[in-house]
Amino acid sequence: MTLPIILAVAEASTPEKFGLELHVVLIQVVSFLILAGVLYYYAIRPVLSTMDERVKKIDSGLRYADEVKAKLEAVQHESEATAKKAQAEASKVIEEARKTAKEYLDRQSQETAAKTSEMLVKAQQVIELERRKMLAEARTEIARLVVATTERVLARELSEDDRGRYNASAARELSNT
Amino acid sequence: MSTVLEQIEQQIAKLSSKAVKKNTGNIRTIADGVAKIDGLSDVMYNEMVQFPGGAIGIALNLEETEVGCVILGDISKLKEGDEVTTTGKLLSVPVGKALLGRTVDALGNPVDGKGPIDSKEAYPVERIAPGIIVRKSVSQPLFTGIMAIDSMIPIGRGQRELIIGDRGTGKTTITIDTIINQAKINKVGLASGDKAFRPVYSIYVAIGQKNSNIVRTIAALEAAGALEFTVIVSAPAADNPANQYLAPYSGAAIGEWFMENGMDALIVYDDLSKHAVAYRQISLILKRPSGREAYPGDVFYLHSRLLERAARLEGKGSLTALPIIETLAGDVSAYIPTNVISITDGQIFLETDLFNQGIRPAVSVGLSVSRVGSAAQIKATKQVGGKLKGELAQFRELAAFAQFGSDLDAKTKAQLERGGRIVELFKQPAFAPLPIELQVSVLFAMQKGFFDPIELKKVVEAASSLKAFFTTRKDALLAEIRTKAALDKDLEAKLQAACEEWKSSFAA
Amino acid sequence: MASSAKVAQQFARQLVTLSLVDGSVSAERVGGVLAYLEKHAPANAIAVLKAYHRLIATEVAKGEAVVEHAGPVSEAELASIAAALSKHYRRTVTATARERPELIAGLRVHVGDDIYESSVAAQLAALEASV
Repeated sequence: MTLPIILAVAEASTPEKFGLELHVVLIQVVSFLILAGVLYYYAIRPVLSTMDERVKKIDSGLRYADEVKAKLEAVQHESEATAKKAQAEASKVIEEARKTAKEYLDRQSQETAAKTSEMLVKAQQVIELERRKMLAEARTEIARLVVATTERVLARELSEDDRGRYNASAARELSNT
Repeated sequence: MSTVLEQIEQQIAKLSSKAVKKNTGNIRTIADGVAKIDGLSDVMYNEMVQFPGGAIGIALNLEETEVGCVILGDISKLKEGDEVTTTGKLLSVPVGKALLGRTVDALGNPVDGKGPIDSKEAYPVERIAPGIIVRKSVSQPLFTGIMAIDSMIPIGRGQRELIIGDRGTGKTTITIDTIINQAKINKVGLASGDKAFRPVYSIYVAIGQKNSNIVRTIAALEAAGALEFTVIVSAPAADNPANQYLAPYSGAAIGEWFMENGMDALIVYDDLSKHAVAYRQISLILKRPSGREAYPGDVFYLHSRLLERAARLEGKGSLTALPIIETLAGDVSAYIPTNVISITDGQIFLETDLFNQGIRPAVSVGLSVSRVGSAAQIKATKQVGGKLKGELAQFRELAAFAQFGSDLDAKTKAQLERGGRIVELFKQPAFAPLPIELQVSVLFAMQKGFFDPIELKKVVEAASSLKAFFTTRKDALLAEIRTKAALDKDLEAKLQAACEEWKSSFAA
Repeated sequence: MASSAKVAQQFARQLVTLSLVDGSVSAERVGGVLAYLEKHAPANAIAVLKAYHRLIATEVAKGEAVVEHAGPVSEAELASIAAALSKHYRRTVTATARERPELIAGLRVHVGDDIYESSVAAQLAALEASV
């Protein structure tokens, strides 16, 4: 940037005399300073800040990428663990279900067996009951017949003598009580 | 056939030619099941007398010139002038284990068509109740299987707890539940082979009931497998009043045999109102002076001497009585209800309103008490249900109060919510008694607030799911509660864990 | 009504005590009582007489042993029974025989409300009842 200014100075000084014109230099310096100031304010500073921002953005972007990567890994791990756990649990549940089902089945079959035997016992009881009822009926009937026959026979067959003897013993019995 | 002949031969061999002395009288009048008899100069009060044709009677009125007898059995063949003889015996009924599973009438004769009862002993129907010295205070629980009763109105072995309420409030159901629960406990206890286990045998006395009801009761007991531990004494409405009057005493005699022989028994009198009515009928026909509501003067003694026979005896067994009284329009201040309330050790009051609201069993917590109190509770129930009665009473009070205003503070709201849940939890279907360990678990879950987040309408569903969870998955835990009968730290932790497990499964 | 019946009953009972001599009814005394009643009839004479009749009948039955029998009975047997009963009841009991073929054989003695029975028919009835 300084080169054109020097060239300009050189070019301007060539026709007249070779030397340093102080005021021109001063003006040049002042104008240069103004230009530099203007440039700095309106061009360089925004550019610098923009660059800074960019750098920051890139940095954060990179960091984010790293984080995401880590997270991804963690999630992967986790999902693996969950899957494993789920597997284990599933097998446990299945195991338990199987066990319960087996127990239930056992219980049911036992109950059924018990019920069947109970039914058998009940049926036997009913039969036994019927038998006993019949026997009791037969017994009363036989007893009735025995008594009725005995009455008839005794009424007809007992002689007066027999009765007299029986009465005598009955009288003795009564006198003694 | 040969056995029949042998038996007859034996009887013939037993015959002796000894003279027999009899004291006799003649029927002067006979009406309404009561006979007035001339003669019978040797008859004793309450003695059994023999009528022709096999009917027997009891001498209830010994007057100057005649004897008033109630006749048990068929009176259609008796007529004026028939000869009546004394027997020298008090009326007695067969007793013993042979009666279990059987249905008998007031005299102990089988009426179930299962043939004769093979019993070796007989006890007199009327018996003086055990005295002071032989009694022991009630301290062993008798679980009814009904959560509202076992947790708040506990019944002990040897206690007399009245069940009182209007018709159709589930009085009989409570007693049937109790009998079924005894059978269940007996089965578990006998299967465990524990030597110290004492089974409870039940006696159900049906007085003045419809035969169809008795049949239904028997069917319910049989379906639940409880009939083998139960004796049913039946004096239906069609029986003459003398049989209805005697049936509870016969039942008590059957129960006393268990008590005297070191066993525990439970007797249900269903119901004593009809018993009092039957006795009133007999007394009026016998021309005894009548008093309030036309009941005779000794109607208090009628029930007191019956219920006093329930006791727990030192060194022997116990007899627990659950008499039932039917009230009219919830009037507990009528004659018979007040009498029986004053005789018994507490009452379970059932309300029509609650029943209609769907709260079944319709136990009115405020009016029901058990004078034996917590002496007849296991420690675990006390731990989880000790404050229930107070909480429920508070709830009822608040519920009535809350109807007026809608702005309630948080504490009141919480109390209302909790109370509503307790009421829901106590709902229980008929003939499904809950074992005590399950009751403890449900109450524990309630106390620990597991039901609080559940919508009120879903509490019943949640409770049944919890019960199912415990019975199917936590059998071992239930058994531990049952054997330990108290909740220690370890058990509590286990219960808490189990409830957590259930909660996740129920919410899911 | 009930109370007047009671009064009659009580009165009749007093009359019966008047009619007894040594615990057995005396015809003479009964005659005296009846004569008195005829002269001084009480307010409810019929009720009193009915009650008196019943009570006297019971008292008479107490002192009389009716011996029902099937087959012959000797006088000596009757006398021994009467003696035994007199001793047992501590009052004079007289025995009267009455034929009763249903008994088949044996005796049945009625004294007041009591019956003593030693007969074939009774034994058969007992057998029928016990089997």
